[in-house]
Amino acid sequence: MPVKYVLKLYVTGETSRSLSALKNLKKILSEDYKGAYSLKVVDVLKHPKLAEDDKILATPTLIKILPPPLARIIGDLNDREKVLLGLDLVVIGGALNK
Amino acid sequence: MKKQTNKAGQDNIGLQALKESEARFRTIVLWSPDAIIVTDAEGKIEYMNPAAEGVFNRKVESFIGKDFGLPLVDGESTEIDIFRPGKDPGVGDMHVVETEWLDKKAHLITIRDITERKKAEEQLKAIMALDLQRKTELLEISNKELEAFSYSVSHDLRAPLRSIDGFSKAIMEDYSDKLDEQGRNYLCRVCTACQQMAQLVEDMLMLSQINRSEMRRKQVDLSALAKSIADEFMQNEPQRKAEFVIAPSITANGDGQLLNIMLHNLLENAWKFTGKHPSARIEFGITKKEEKTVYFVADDGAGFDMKYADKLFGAFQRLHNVEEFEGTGIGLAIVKRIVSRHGGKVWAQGETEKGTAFYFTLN
Repeated sequence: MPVKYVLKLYVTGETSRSLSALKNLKKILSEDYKGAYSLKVVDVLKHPKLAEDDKILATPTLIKILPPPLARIIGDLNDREKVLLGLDLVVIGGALNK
Repeated sequence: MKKQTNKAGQDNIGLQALKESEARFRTIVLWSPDAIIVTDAEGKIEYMNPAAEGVFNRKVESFIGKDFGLPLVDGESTEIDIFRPGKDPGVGDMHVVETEWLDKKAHLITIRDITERKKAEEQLKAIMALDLQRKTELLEISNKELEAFSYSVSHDLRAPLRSIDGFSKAIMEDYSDKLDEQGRNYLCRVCTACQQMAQLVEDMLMLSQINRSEMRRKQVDLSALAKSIADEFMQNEPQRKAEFVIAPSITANGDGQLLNIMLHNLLENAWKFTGKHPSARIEFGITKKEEKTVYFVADDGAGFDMKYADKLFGAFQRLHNVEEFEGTGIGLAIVKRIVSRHGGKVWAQGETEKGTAFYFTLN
C-alpha cells in the first residue's frame, strides 16, 4: 500500500506524556492506517531548531502533513475518535474516509 | 429635550460601567500567573496573555496567528510538556473550554506551570520508593535470618533432646527400683516435658519449612481430606461422642500437602477444644462473602473471647493453659502461613464456651 498519510509527532524526551502519546498514536495508526502511513517522531530536546521552526509551544503535538490540509493537535491522544476528527480524518462506521 | 439628555446620561453611565468591567477582566487576564491562550476553532492563536511569555520563555507576539494545535483534553485537564528554548522543559496542566471569541467559536486554553510541583512529586516518589526498597530488603534479610535461625535451633535441639529423653527412659527402666516414689515422679515429669518439647521442635521445624517448601498447585478435594482426618480422630478416641459434619465435594486449587496440614490443624483444634464437652459437633463447609468462596471449620467447644482474636494466629500464643488443653501454640500459626502462601486470609469468630469458627479463603 502506498504511503498516504504523513505525520510528525513532537515529544519531549521520554516523559510519561511523550511515551503515552506515542503508544496511543501507534495503536490508532496500526488499527486504522494499516501501514499506509509514515510517522516521524521529533524530540524537541534533540532538535530544538525544528521545534522552533514549527512554532511548537508544548508537546505532545501531532502534525498531519499529508494529505492536505495541514492539521495540528496538542494534548493527550487517548481518544481515538477525537484524534481522527482533530486530524480532519472523518471516520464513518469505523473505516477511514477522507 | 430633557428626555434626550437623560438618555445620553444613561448611555454614559452604561459605557462607564462597561469600561470598568472590561478593566477588571483585563486585570485578571493580564496578571494571571497561568498562561491564557485563545485560539479559533481550528487551533490558530488569536490571543496570548503576558504570563504565557514566562511559561513558554518566548515573546508572545511571534505566535499570534500561528497554529497552536487543536487542544485535546481527556476529562478535566491534561498534562503537557512545555517547550522552552534555552531552558529545561517544563510541565503544564492544560485546561480547555470551548467558548466564543469575537462572535466565533473558539478555545479558551489555560496552562498552569506545574514544573516545580512535578519535580517535588517525583523527588518524593523516588525517596519513598528507595525507602520502601530498603525496608523490603531489610525485612527480607531479617526474615531469612529468622527462618534460618528457627530452623537450625529446632534442628540442633533434637539431638540433645533425644539424649535427655533416652537417658531418662534408661534410668526409668534400669534404676526404677533404686528410686523412691518421689524420684520416679520427678523422672516421669522429665519424660513428659521431653515429649512436649519434642513436639514443639517438630512444629517449629514444620513452621519454618512451610515457607521454604515449593508450592505444587492442583485441584484438591478438601472434603475427602477432612473426612480422612476426622476418621483418624474418631479411631484414636472412639469413646468420644462427637459428630463431624463435612459438606460434600468441596475442592480448592492449592498445594495438597500444605492444605492437608492446614485442615489437620484446624480440625485438630476443633477436636481438642470440644474435648471437655459431653458431646461435640464439628463442621467443615463453605459459604460466600462478597462473591468469594469462604471455607470454614466450626465447633461448639470451649470457644474464646473475641478480644483476644488477634492473638490466635501468633506462634506460641495460647489462650488456654497447657494443663487445660495440651498443645504447642504453633498450630494456628502454621494455618495462617499456609493460607497466606495460597494468597488467602484466615480469621476466627468465637464466644467463650459457645464454640469457635475459623474462616479462610484461598486464591
